[in-house]
Amino acid sequence: MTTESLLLIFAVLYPIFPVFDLAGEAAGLQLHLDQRLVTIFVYGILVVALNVQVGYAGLLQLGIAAFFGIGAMATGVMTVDKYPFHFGFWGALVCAPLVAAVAGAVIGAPTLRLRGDYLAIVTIGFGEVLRTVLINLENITDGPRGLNPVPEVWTPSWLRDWLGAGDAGEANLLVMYYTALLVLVAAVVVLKVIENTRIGRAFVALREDELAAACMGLDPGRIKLMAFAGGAALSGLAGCLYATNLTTTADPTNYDFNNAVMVLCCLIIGGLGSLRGALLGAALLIGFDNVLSPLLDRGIQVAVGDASHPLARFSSWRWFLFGFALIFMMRLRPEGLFPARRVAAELHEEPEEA
Amino acid sequence: MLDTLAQQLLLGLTNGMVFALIALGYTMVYGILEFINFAHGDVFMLSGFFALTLVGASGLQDAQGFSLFAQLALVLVLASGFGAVVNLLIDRLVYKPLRKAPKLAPLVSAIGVSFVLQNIGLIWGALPLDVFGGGGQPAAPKSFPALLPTDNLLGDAALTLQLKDVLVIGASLAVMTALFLLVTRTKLGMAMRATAQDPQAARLMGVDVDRVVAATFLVGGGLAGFAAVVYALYINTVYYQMGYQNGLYAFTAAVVGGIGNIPGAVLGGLLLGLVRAFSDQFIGAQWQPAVLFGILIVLLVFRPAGLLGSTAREKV
Amino acid sequence: MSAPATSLLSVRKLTLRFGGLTAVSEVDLDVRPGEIAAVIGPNGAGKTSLFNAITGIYEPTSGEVHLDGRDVRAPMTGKVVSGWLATGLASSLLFLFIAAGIDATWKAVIKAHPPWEFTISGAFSDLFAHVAAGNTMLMLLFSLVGFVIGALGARAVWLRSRRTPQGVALQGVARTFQNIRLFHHMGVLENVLVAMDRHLRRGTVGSGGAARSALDGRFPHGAWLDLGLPAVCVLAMVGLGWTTGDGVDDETVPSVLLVALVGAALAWLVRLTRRGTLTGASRIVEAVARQEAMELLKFVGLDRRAGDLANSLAYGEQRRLEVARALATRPKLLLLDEPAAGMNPSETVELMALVRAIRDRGVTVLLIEHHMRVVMGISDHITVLVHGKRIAHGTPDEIRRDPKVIEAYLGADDGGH
Repeated sequence: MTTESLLLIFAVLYPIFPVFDLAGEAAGLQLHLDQRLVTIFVYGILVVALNVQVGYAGLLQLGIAAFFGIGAMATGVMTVDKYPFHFGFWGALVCAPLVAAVAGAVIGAPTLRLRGDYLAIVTIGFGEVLRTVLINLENITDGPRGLNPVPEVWTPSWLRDWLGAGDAGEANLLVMYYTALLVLVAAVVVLKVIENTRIGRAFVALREDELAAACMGLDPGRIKLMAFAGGAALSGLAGCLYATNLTTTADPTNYDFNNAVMVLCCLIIGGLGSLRGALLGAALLIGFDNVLSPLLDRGIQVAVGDASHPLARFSSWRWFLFGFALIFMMRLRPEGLFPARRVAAELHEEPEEA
Repeated sequence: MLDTLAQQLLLGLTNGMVFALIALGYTMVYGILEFINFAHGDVFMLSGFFALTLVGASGLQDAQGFSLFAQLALVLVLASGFGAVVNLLIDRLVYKPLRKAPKLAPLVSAIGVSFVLQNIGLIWGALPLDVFGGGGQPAAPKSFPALLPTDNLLGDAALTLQLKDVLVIGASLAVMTALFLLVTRTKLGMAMRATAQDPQAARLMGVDVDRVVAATFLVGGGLAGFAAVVYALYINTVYYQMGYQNGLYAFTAAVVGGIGNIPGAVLGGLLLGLVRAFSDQFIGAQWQPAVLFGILIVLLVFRPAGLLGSTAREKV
Repeated sequence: MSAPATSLLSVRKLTLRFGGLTAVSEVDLDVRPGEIAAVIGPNGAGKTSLFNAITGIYEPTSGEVHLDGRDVRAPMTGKVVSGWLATGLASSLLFLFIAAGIDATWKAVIKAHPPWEFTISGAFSDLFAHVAAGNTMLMLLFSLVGFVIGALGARAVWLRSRRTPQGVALQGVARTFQNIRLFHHMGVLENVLVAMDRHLRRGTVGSGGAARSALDGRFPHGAWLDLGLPAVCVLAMVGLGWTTGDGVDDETVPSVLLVALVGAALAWLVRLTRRGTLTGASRIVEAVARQEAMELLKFVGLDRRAGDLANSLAYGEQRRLEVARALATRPKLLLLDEPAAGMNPSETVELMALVRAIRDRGVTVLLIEHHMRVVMGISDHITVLVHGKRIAHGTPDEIRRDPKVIEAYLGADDGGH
């Protein structure tokens, strides 16, 4: 099956998934697919954001979860009842990416011009700092509890009737679902367009030969900063959707290094630099993590009988999955399962001997 | 006040020694392969589990006097050997096939290895052993028995100097001196330095680069294993995420000192250890990452090549 | 020391040291506008190092490079200095809040009153009160330290990026590389387009501002939709947040906004997908740029290979593509690093014609070459480097007769083809 047809199937299925859910509910099944799918969309945006930084600009950014967290926390601060801002979900959806982009620019401006390897340590470090800051500034962030309740997305009553949803919560869930889908589609469309413009060309040139590109008048620092801040903005967008979907900014450990690596893993499996790869990688891995692994856990519990031992839970083994996935992908298929043609060629060529 | 300062200075020195030992592994590999071995911190962590298992198996916590020190020395040697072998195995199995691949490939693989090792640590901690508290809570920190007497060597002085402080500083200094001699006085060390400067030229001059890389991973892993025992003796806990945190600080130390520069790693480690001790005392332990990484960023702005590093130019 | 006004490029006492090795030593070089100049010398004489220093890849140990009488390094203007000061102020503010305690400040300013009693002016007076109540000395110290770190940091970053390859390129110096550095996995045409990036950004592609005049006719059409649709989206979102953030009394306004948002978003996305560029204007500019790039490819004789990948070209073709790419930046001065290397005699003759044609386009050429026939055949002036030092300078005839040059080249084995 080609990736196009796979994408087409998703494109058809995603808009009508909630229908299954309603049907399932009528039949007495509690699938809650739409809430889980929103998580997939959110991570889809996050993987696409990382793709801008790692895939397009070739920056090894390992702190993507921090910008995700900044988006979520900004949304929390701007919307919760106990603070005076009350921007609402839609206001936060405009502001959260701006806040994340500013954070990205501040951290990127002094460090992006340095040796590429340093960016890895700086971004991991930034992730660590953010996690501790979120926990320590308890008066602002409510520490490990997180800010809540983050208000749900607003649905007018006529839309509720039109959707045929039973109550406000259900209608909100549906609106959230379609909002997340629309944001994801918009992000992908805009990036797809950018890939073929002057900026997209500059990214490729920079990846291929930074020095030659600079000698042609392209400013590597500026282009990298653009990618870095842009990716951060998209991550902030994802964070806003995430917090709204959960109705809480959640425990700051949700935005730590493990999370960043999971996103990287989605991108590597899908294919660096490839938008469809990023989407399918997120669908595969996050889908697995969110939908399949709880099922597996239940299966293990049924099989073993004793569910109390921690090793009887899949979560105790999931880092093997991510770790080995990264190792084997790099060894066997560094361009990912659904590669971008150009990146595949770059990754397969042996670097010239100096 | 002066006592507090002296106490923090001592704490910073001992912390810094551990950082420096781990940082050396990062910096040596970087110097030769220009590659950040993200899994290095986790080799340190696994060596800690290995040492704890050894202690549990040998009943070392009950030993006294000479037999204690002899066995402790044995644990140090075995843990170093374990770290060295694990590190070399990782290189041969994972990194070596990617030697000619673009830079991103080994980096991403190293992150993968790091996660695999962490999961191994988690499972290891679930082994049903007494030292692991029966293995019921794999993620919880395991306590490493306080093997050394905790008496103050200075008698009633306000400054507490325990045997473990002396041991940590003394043993670390000894190992670093040995490393320094290895790098400056032996043929292997010369080959290492030559390869770090220009692998192509070194190869042409008859240096077996592959052997040099293997030796580097062995030495780096050995230092990490050694650091693990020292750390466990000092902090008295071992847990599956200790590699991540300490590895991150150690790598920061390597960058602060100038990545690829061996004295720089030691200097950076000591500096970070001292800063950490003083910031814990005067700012608060919860702000530790913010202070340390803040310093990293400021340093990178003012001296991008690190304290002792030199700016290398790309060949055109 | 200022350069003679007649020189396009003037290099003064340029020295380049790597550790103990001196690659270039106190070299002077002048290139007049409209000439073809050459640098020759045995292998390892420091020619490429000199090129790298001129184009901003290496920072010279000492000496200056002037273009059109101006230092190629970015000048320290008032704007630059105010940039440092602004960074310093921002950083000092951050440090001030750290000293005041971010958490405590938030508590005193935002949490002090229930949300419905919150006013912006009240927040500011709370803020000032909180800061004033703190330890004044500590805060002063912190803001001062913050200012110094921020301003000096910005200065350090600026000092490091005063001389950059892109900075020199933007002043009108383009180059090719000895070991060809094309963007190998990009198309031939794309390679040229990359180099036109600055002109694409400014919309100044096309000869005589062709893009501009093409735009003049068509710009208004649909341009308001390109910007209007996303603007409607953002405004509708802000409006929705405004009207629904605090609870909803009347659904009419937010409903209209929601419909407008979804409609505008869908319309914009459909527009983007169908057109494939962000704005209609950029599509026109791109088309003009492609035309200009094709003309350049024709100039170097590669127009038939425009659609191929760069790494599928033959060696000589790759060299010519590098020339086309360099010309696409619209340089005043073109630096060619051994353009004839690896070429057969007939290609070499073509190359000489090409270099002359480049000069006739009004581009000054400075080249490094080993091929004596090329150098003697086309150069107006020649500079000879040996061991990083300039030993001679003059017209081809003068150089041919110079005893120092003859001596230097007799010992070298690759000089006398």
